Amino acid sequence: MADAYSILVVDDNQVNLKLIEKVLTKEGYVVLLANNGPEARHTAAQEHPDLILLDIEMPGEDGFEVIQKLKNDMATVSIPVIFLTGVSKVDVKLKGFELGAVDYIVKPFHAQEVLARVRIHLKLSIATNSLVQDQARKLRQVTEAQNALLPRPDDFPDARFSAFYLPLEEAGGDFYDILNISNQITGYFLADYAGHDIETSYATASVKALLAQNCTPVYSPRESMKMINDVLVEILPWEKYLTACYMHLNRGTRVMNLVHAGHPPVVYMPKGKKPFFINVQGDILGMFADATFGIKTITVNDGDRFFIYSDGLVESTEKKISWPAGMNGLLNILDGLDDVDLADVPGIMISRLFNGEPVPEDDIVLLCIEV
Amino acid sequence: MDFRNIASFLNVDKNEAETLGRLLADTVASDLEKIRRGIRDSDPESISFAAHSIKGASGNLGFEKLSQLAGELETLARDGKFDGLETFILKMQGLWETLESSLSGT
Repeated sequence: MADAYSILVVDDNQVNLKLIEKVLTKEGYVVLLANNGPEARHTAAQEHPDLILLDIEMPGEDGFEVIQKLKNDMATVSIPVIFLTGVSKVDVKLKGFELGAVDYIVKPFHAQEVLARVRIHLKLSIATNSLVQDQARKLRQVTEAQNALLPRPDDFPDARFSAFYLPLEEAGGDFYDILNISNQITGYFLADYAGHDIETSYATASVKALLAQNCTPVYSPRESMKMINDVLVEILPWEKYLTACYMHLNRGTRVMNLVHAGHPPVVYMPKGKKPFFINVQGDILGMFADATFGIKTITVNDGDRFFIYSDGLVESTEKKISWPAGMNGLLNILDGLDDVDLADVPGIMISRLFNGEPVPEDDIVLLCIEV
Repeated sequence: MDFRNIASFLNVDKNEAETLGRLLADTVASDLEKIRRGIRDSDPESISFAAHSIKGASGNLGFEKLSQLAGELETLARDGKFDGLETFILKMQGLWETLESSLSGT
């Protein structure tokens, strides 16, 4: 047996409440009653009824005030509201519709009219919810597909990395990739696509394919980035671009090359020493055909660590902190982390940065790499 | 004016009709008292509010005459016209007494 639909009836008049309760109960609905605005809002937030029948003229909070508060509350915003009113003036009805009501029932009403309008709006609500759920299911598929594109440390044991990834939307604008260029050479790529909507997930797949094609032993890191840029300039929509960072680590020669494309600077923590930023200038990816990318070459040692991240880790629109300012705190949170197991480092860093509760305003991706 | 009309009008059984009729009678008595108090206090807002309540409740149960009188009284009060309100109250009181008698006779 299907769950019964619940309807909240709000009226200060006990006769009306009782009458509607009887009419709806006979038809199998679960009826919730409230005889004033605050009680109605409380019940709506707690019980999430499928529909609300709301009287306009009530002492204290009237129906208009109640619906405004219901529509401002995320817990109740999507519950359809039908007004019950003895006033049939057009301007009163229009005001109700503007505030979010889906329909009116003018008193005195007939029981069959109430039932008919309740049925219609429940059907509409069911159809809307079905669409929403369908869209959510599709977005979850995109999320799963995008997550499947992100390499896991277990899949690349020789790459010696750990990662934290948290998309703001179902399809994040940040992503990373690990490239086995040769037995000794590993590529680490991290990018932040301008925007974090569904469109970005398709760009992720494109860039991943470009990385596989162009990050090979025959091309220098800067050549790889240049060729990827040339293609992205052609295929990305106007005013869409990426900031990116490509780290090319040769564990055989112990040489690390870092190519920057307008991305926040990488943190380098030589083993046993204090961490510092590697500042390299470079244009963004995918916008300019004549872009130039800065490169930094460093001789590294076993146990040295690098931290590549997206701006969501260090900037806050809400607190008006840009990433150049937000970076200042990043070095401090690395204290004591040079001996911590690499797999645990991202979690500790996030915990320290967000005081144990990560609430992102932007996508966040953090790669921790050990030589 | 007979509460038994409620049963056929709303398609409810006798017991349910009696419950609704009793509720209506009590509500109307209370609202009539509010209207009288409003006249004494020269408070048109509380008069129109109580009249509005009677209009909706009685209309919903099929008591059209009472609902119509309450609607007219509501309009007068809203317009600030106090002359003649007593006449409306007397008529409404009469209809209420009929309802009470009907309920008592069950």
